[in-house]
Amino acid sequence: MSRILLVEDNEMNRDMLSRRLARKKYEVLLAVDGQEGVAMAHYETPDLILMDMSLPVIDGWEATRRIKASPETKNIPVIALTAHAMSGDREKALEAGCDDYDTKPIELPRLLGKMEAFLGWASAP
Amino acid sequence: MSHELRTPLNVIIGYSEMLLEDAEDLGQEEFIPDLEKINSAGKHLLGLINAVLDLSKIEAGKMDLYLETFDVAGMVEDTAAVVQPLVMKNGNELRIECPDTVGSMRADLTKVRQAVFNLLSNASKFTKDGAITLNVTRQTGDGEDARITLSVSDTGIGMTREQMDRLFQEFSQADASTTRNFGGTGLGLALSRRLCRMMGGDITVESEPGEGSTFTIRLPAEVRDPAKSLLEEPEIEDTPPEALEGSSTVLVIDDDATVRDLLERFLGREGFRVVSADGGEEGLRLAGELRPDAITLDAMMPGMDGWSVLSALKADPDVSGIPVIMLTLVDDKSLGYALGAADYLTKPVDRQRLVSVLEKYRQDDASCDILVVDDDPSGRRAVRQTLEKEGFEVAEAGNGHEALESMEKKRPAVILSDLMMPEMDGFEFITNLRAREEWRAIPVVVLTAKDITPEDRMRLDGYVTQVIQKGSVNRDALLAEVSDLVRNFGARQGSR
Repeated sequence: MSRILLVEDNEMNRDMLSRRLARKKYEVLLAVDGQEGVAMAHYETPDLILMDMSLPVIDGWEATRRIKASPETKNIPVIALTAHAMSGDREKALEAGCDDYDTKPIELPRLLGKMEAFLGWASAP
Repeated sequence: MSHELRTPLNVIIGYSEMLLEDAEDLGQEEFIPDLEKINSAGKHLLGLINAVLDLSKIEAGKMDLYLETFDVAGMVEDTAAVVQPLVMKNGNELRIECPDTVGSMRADLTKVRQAVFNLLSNASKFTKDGAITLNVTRQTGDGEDARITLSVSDTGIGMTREQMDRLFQEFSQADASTTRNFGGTGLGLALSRRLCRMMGGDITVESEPGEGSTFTIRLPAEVRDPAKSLLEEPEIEDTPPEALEGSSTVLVIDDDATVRDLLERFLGREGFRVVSADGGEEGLRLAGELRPDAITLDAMMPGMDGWSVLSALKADPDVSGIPVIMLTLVDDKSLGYALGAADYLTKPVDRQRLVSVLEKYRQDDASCDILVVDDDPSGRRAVRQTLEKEGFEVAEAGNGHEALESMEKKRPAVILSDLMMPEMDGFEFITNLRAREEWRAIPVVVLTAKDITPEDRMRLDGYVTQVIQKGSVNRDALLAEVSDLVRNFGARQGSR
């Protein structure tokens, strides 16, 4: 079972996405801000991280930079979840080191496709 | 703003989607159509909000271009794949004519894709059981820059002349019933055209009622950043910089060689002696050595940025008196608040810090009148209590107007002012205050919940005499302004 770290500050978004992922048989770990996200990436070493970008304490871009700067966590794929493609968030997310991005509102099949591209079909749930 | 609008909608869309999945899993088929309505209305509204926000961003000059070089055929293929379900929905067939020789282009990929997607999705909506053709070509005229043309033709309902005229207006589809019949926001085309125009291109249309329509996107194969292009037109007459004896010296600090060159030539032609530095450290060194009459400083530089350079300049008593003109691409409408605030406190107010800041202004005699200007009564009360305990005399005002009225009656020794207030905000209040000779010397401590940006801080410090945007003004206006400012400063310096 793949372990996914979801870093999202909005309670409802967190609830929504974590429940939907759990139904698809992923194990979902939750962090509510960028700092907690970086910390959990270290001690949980999840298989993949879904990162909201506008986060309190430290934002998603900075959290991603830190995750990608650390040898222990730099190989964990990070998918940025951005509000809106046009705002330049995509470019900023990729610059920060995110491996891919997806826009909100989440379209689950599309997001699952992107996640599976990193997790590999072999380990698919 | 955008975040506040989108988040609740994402919740509506997301939970309705979850309930749809639940209804399918549990076999509750009867709920599905209603849930689908909630979901699709949510998505429609989100589309509208996104388009309105994008349009307002473009209007405000805040939409940035992210230029990258990409393969045109690959972009077309990706976009076509995304639009395919829409094409098939009305029984249409999508034909793509994109020769490999089209090659690559340099543009904002997301925005090009958005425009192409918009044309393809419109064509799919207004065509039934027909064909949609996307034709892509590269055109290289003699002496002209190469252009990429993407044209979308359909065999749909077509349009009259009149309908075409209104087509690109915001919120206007061919007629009011179109939205009902065909869906869509009516904003997509207006937005796509704006995006193409931002990149130096355009969208045009040809159509006959009943004969289908052809929409054509034309874009330069090499899009130039408009923020930079204003400084890339080297059409100024090349007169050698003839520095006159005793002329004013201007130090230009900018990492961009084009900007340096341009300012050197222009200011030189106006009779200034121009020395330039390509970075902050170099600029600081030259400022100390040369003691120029004025400095123009780029806000965004790698390494030491303009704001740090400005702080360093102002911290050094030898050069702190030299006027600095910031050149910045950062768009901010609160330009030019050279207010001269004495200090800042952020909310929630730390009592100790508040008292220690105010102690500085207390004269030897114990009584010291303080005017507290804040629209929040409980905030005012808290500050008042703290200060009265320390022996200050406190007057209150709920906004800038009240504060000015209160000051007519009694002149305070120190003013403590919030920035964000109804009727007359702190910026306006301080500006009014500074306009009155007898009040000019009263120290103002800014009280704010707002995160003060480095720029705000500099403005409030009275460090920045003028902030000029590179992006929003045309080159001549920019240069004239720089020249004027430098001249004024020079005069002021001379008369000191």
